[in-house]
Amino acid sequence: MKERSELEIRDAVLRLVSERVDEVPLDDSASLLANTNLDSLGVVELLVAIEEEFSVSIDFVTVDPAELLSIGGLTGHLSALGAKSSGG
Amino acid sequence: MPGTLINMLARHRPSDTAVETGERQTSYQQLLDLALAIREQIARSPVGSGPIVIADDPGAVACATIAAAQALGHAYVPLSVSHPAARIQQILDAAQPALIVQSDRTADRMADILPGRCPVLTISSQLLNVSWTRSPRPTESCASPIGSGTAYVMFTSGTTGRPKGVPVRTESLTAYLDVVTKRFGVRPGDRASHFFDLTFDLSVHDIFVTLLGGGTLVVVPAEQRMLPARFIREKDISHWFSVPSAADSLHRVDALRPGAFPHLRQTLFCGEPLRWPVAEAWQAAAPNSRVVNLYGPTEATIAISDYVLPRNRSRSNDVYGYVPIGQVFEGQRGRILSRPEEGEPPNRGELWLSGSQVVAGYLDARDSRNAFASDPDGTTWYRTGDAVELEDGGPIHFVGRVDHQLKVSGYRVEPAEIENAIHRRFPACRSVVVQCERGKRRGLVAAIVCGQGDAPTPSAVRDACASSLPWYMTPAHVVELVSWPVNSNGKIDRKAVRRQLEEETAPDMAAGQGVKS
Repeated sequence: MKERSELEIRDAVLRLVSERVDEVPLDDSASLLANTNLDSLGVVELLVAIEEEFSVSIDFVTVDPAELLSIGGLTGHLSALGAKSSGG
Repeated sequence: MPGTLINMLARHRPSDTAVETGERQTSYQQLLDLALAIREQIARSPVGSGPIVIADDPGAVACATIAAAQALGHAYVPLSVSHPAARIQQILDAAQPALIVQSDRTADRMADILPGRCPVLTISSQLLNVSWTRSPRPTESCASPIGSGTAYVMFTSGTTGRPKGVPVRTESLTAYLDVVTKRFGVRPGDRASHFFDLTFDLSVHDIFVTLLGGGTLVVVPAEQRMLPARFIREKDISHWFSVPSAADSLHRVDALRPGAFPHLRQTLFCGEPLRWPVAEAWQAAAPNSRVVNLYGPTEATIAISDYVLPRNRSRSNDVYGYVPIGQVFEGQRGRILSRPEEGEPPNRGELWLSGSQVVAGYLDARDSRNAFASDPDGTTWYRTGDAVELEDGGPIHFVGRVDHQLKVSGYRVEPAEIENAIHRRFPACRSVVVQCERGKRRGLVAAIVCGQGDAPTPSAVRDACASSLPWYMTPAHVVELVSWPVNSNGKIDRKAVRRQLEEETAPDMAAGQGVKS
């Protein structure tokens, strides 16, 4: 299983987001909660899908959820976790 | 009640923190000074007797204004500045306030909305300055339907397409606080969450119970409410109160690890059904906390029954999916109206409530017609619309709704209000709003069928809702159907609509399954 580049991670995040929203925000730092049709339930489902896609476990006891509310924030966090491709 | 809020603020240690918003701490002395300044400004001005509208986010300004309003015998009406202008206008029209209190944080937003003649008091968020943005004039005060003796008015979703005002009497709030300050009180040194928006009546509990007890009210920012585990730990919260959704979400992402919240001593949940696995995971995460499920509609003043989670779960709990709502508070009354003709046993049916905590009716009497009933002896009963079952020798269990009302993050949502908003904008379309719990589309989903012409895009439908309804009433998804599933009476079968939407798995639906893409 090879580590994904930040660009690959962003692409995969973007795909998971676009499957769930009417319009993907143009700004990577825009809050998905405030700028898309996702409500908190939708964001939680997105986070679960991201954990599955990247085979990672985000520790929500220590991570600030506010940092995971944007495409940029998610990409940065997953890069730091060393996200791998799912399924190898 | 132990005393009015303003008197109690003066009794606590002046240097203790009363309200904490982010890095900003407001001491009891500062909060008292602000409450007294607001009271003085209002008392020496020619304002009418109507309610005081509070247009601010949760925090010290709102707490001080509520204390001042109570001391002056005015009711308060909270507004959320994030709601659409049209919605805010409807509430102002119904309430006919004596004045509006805003902070400099909300002043810009409110400037676009405010009616021309209503006095406006602005409080700087540095809490140093209380000044009139629009001064009251003696001749201009108008009569309000909200008189003295009312503590606050909350507006909730109504089936008629306009919000319903629920005026809660001072004696009802006193009756509630008498019970809960004894059972779930907060003491100096405790750190209690302030999770709820001011337009949600559970915020009344946060503010009064914490500040009467001398604890610190810790405001939970909106972006932390979804997954608050880190917030609870970092802010050293000892008393947590939220909707079960927050716990549900934490459970979903495996954040309710055993022992994660060792400092929590009390957890209250209210506003939605609490599922057993979530409650038990929370108990394990907070081993030193008592976990309590509260129940109560806004019409019965915040909460009217409670159930303390037992340390050992009894087997009978498995019969019901949800944690019981417990017993009705002492002094209040509940009864179950079963419909034997529909095969309901006598211990199962709609829950009706009566007593000092129950409101006499809605602000607009037209809304009260089907919701309240009177006994021959004059006793007023509020029909909750909640289907419950009384366990033999045990607590009351929540079973479901007798109507179509939904809950989104604890907020009541009447699908008819959303459907009306869609129909007003797109008269050729008929819609049905349901709440999906499974499948790709979770949350509020508007299914639409359009008679003629092209169907509006999902974002156009959502925009139509967002321009007149609060955020929690805007559907997360919009799906066009070819036709409606109907029941044997030829009526639209809402359950079938929901099933159909939940069973659709593809993100973009293909035609041919009764759903258009």
